[in-house]
Amino acid sequence: MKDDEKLDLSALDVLASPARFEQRVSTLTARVLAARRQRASLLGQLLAWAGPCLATAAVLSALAWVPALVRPAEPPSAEAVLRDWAGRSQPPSAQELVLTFGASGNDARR
Amino acid sequence: VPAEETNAVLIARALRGEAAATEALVRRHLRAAVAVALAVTRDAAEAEDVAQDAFLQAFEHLESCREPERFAGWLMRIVRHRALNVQLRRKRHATTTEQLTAAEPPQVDAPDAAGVGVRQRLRAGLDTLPPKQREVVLLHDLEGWTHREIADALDISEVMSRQHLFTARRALRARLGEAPSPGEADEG
Repeated sequence: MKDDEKLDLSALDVLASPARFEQRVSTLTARVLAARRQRASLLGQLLAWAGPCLATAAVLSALAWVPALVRPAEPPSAEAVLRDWAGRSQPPSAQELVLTFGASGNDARR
Repeated sequence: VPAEETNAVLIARALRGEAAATEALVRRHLRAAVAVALAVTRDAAEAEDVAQDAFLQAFEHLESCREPERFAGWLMRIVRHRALNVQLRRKRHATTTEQLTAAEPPQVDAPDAAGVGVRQRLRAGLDTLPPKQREVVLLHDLEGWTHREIADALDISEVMSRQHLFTARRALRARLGEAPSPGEADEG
């Protein structure tokens, strides 16, 4: 025999029987298609949920900022006002005195 | 599915969910996948399982096959990788359970009962070959692949494919010795 002649290895052919081959092809194809369908379905569910989840997150994030935006600015403390007056060359007006100490007096009574 | 459809066309159609294209790809490559798995595991049942699992893995990541025309090579790499993992697990199992005899090369028998003697001689011969030579001789002489196809699938040159085939055939023939040729033996 020559080494360039084809060897008959048909005895090793696992899928020699046409019926067996066809059965393996159809079983494997069905498994592949089922796996792909399952994967597509999972991906579809994830994508379907992604939109509403993102929208909800955006709304919650916006709502979290609302209190900070609508809350009125804190009035300056009496110490800060006194420091301001001390830095000025002129004394505070009567209106400023009433507004500052009147408000503080109310707070103290409460 | 028309015979002239390339792997690239079939893959594009399979990605669109066409069952016929998926089946065509399975039909076109199943035998070679089993042959490559057989070359590594040397066990018929294991080779079939490995090939099936490799197909499932390949189709799960079909989008990542960057060169669809070279699908066969891509698939065979997955098959070989899985087969090597199975072989490694088997060896570990044999060692941990102190069943070292189980590490002997398993049977390569096809499920039918015919030609057992020939199969045993061929198996003994294949066991003496390095894995790459086993892959080449099985793909060429059993599956009818060309050297170009083998080179592409196994990431070797065509010259190396020819060299492996020549060496493998010579070793197998020497092993078979004066035994009757496989086509004649155990038939009656």
